[in-house]
Amino acid sequence: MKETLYKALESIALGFSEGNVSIDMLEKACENYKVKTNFDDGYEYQILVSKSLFDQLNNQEIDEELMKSIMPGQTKNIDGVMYIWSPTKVGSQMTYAWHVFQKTKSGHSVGGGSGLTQKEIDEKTKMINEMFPKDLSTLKVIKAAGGSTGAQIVEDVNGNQYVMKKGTNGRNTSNEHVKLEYLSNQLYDVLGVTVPNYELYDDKGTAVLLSRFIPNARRANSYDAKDGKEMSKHFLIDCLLNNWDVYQNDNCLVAPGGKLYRVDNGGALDLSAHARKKQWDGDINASFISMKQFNPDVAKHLSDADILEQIKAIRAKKDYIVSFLKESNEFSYATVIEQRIDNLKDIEADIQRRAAIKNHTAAPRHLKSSKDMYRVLDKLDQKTIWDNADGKGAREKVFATRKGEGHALLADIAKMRGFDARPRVVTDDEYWKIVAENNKKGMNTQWFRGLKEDKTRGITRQFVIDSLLYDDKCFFGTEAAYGDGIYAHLNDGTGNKDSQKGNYTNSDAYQHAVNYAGHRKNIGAVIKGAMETDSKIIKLEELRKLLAKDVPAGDKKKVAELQKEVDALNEQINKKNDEINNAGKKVIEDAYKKIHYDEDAIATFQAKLDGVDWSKVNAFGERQIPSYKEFVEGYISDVVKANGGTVRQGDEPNMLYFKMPTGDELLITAYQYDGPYSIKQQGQWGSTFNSAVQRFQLWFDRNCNTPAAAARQEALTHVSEIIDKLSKEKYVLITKLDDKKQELHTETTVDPEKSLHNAIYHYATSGYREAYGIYAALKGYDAIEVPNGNGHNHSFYVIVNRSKMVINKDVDMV
Amino acid sequence: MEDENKTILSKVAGGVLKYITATKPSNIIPFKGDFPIIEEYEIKKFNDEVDKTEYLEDASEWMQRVCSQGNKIRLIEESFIQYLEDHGLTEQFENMNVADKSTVLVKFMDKNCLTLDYFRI
Repeated sequence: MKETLYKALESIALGFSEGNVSIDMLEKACENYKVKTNFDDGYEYQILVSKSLFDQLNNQEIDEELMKSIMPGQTKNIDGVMYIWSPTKVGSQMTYAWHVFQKTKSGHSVGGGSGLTQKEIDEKTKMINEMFPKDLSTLKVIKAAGGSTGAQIVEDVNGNQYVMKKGTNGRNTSNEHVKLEYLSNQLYDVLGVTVPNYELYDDKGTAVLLSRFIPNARRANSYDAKDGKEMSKHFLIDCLLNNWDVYQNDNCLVAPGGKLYRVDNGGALDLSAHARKKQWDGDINASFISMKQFNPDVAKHLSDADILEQIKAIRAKKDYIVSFLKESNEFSYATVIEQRIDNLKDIEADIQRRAAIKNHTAAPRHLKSSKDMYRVLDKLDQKTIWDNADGKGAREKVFATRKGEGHALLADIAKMRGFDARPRVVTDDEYWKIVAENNKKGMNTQWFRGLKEDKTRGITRQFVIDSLLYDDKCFFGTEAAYGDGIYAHLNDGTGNKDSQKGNYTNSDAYQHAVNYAGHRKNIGAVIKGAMETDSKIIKLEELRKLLAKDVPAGDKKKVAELQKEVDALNEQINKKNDEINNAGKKVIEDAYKKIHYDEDAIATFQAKLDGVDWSKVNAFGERQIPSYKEFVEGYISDVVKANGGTVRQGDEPNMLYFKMPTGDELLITAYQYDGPYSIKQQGQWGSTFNSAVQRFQLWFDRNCNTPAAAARQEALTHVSEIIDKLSKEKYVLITKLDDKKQELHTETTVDPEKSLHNAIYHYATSGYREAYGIYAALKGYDAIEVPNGNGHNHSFYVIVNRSKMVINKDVDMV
Repeated sequence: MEDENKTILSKVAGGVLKYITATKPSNIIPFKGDFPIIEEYEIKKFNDEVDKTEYLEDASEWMQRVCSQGNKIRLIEESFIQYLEDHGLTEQFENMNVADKSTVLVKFMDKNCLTLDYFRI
């Protein structure tokens, strides 16, 4: 059989030399022969390969025995030039020799040999990524990749898949765009950020970019804490490269195993994702501020220390990056990148700047009389407020906010009542006296309010403090989980409610206020306050009952019953939703279990791989990488077995064959793993990798991750019937709910458009709790007390009458 | 995740409910997506989770997702409103034809490193 296989290999080799077979096919045939015949592709054989090639290059005759030892189709890469052992027919004889591989039959130029003279080949140092196909014509299109640039998923003769982008598709792309994406990938690579392996080709004037397709990857979700934190680790680099889109859509992918990849980097530097020019200059601070503002889920993971650390790391590579760009003849990019790195100092300056705290003296307050403040706002008052409210329509009016005042409707009612007047600001001594007196009377209203700066909007903490204490204009906030108003933590915690000058900071309420003030990162403040003793405070539940009784019209008993039915239907629909969501999850878990796909084992392997620096050497230049035993016999074997594969020993020591239930077998020898040519580099400037391990990764993708993705897809197809059934049931419930709501609506005849009162009732009872703050102010209450809000063990105040706040002038900076 | 990097849920939730329940989240930014992000019958579920959870990062995946989407809409809209105000265009913008509106919007986008992808929710 061995002879038969060898003859077949020779025919393929001859076909290649005659231009009828591609190099990829020949390489594959050579590889297959080695596997099927248990060929020892180890150290000894490689020495023969090297010797024969060097002999030829040195114009020495190759020993005949040596010639017989080399496999047809054997390739060797020296100084960026690919050589292949292939035959030419001389008379009736086949004569093998090393031939330079430069161009394919169809004229595709590739790698280091492309378009070069022999002299240039001899001098060239760029390395070819040997994991990529040499001949684009051998690629098979699998499907469109999606997106607006016409990218496709393609597959090579070995079953490896890639995303292919061509420069002249005409749809939102160009040669310049494709080459720019290649450059962006190189820059990310140089800066140590993970992108899928890539290679650029020149296909008769069309730039073609191939990027390794990551099977069974999922989109990174910035709102997920783990994903968001991972994305933030290279935030400054994303700003440096002007990659505005990087956190949008699926431009960040998480591979099985958990590694985060940045993909689709064609929207970096000076081109948008649709190949249009965009702003590109040295002002990195502007990019930083905007990207931080509009990607808060990612930016929130960055402390000032993190930002400074990332800046330091970029600066350390400045010369390297600029040299790389210049060597690549990208001089204009080199200039701007250099400027952007130099201007990182502007970001540093912002971080290092802190507002000074000044002492203020409050001017006299102007308060309305109690009679005026708490008078009943009649229909005419309410009509005035409603007719003049910001926005068109009830919804806009209820939710409108106004610059400097926050919730607009509340602000208007507050102005009418005089609730917007300044608080009473007292000295530290006065404050503690007031608190002690209140406590004696059993009237604990001590509260703490945490505030912090918002750099993205240019708001310092001093500004926020001044706004509450001294500004005649009252800001009621724009975020309201329990009611529009000014929020404060009431010091009634069930854990600790210490309330005196020496111990108040121990209290639960104070501790939580510190959290709201930014967790002691010196960006916030805690304000100490209390309510005036004659404040009208109502508990939230009582306010709800009041509103429920205050139904604009209709049979109250019937309304209560209908409301109950509506709530019950809501509950059922939510449960149905959960069933629908969980149906998909379960079938995927079952499908993975069936094919022994173990995501945890893959994550463990990825973690081990991430921990290895393949370029590490000791002082003597000796490699410091994990041994073959540790990595191949250990980690690789473990992940293969965990995923249902087998590992068998070869005939010689340090030879292992790996096989998954379906697919081809993979051989990794110690020589391949740790031989002289095992450690390679992605281009002259790029990251270092182990070629045997990379071969394993590609093989694992083909034989494990790709089948898993297919199993997942199939499972989801089957589950669609179950989901359809559940969705139909849900639809029935929704129809019932709509009918009930219609009945309720008819019964209560609440048209929110008609009046302020109707609008408050409608939105408050529909779950928009902001409306309760407006209702409290309308009814003349100074504050709402919310018990155990937000999962805390103390209450909140939602204050709608600022004039009833008593505030300690002495603010705690935290 | 360290507490100090966590987001207080009520602060985010309070500002986004009106956006995530709207069939058209904004009159001035052409957001694209499946709106409303949550249905009316899900408001109770939303509020219940706010009541019992302190930090967004400890909330359910559903909650994190809808808050993230709502916050994105809110940030962009508020920023554009500020932009219009800074350029004295607040009143004019409403009466502009769509071509002029889009010019103003694109200038705002360029100034703030925004692309159309940011409008996809």
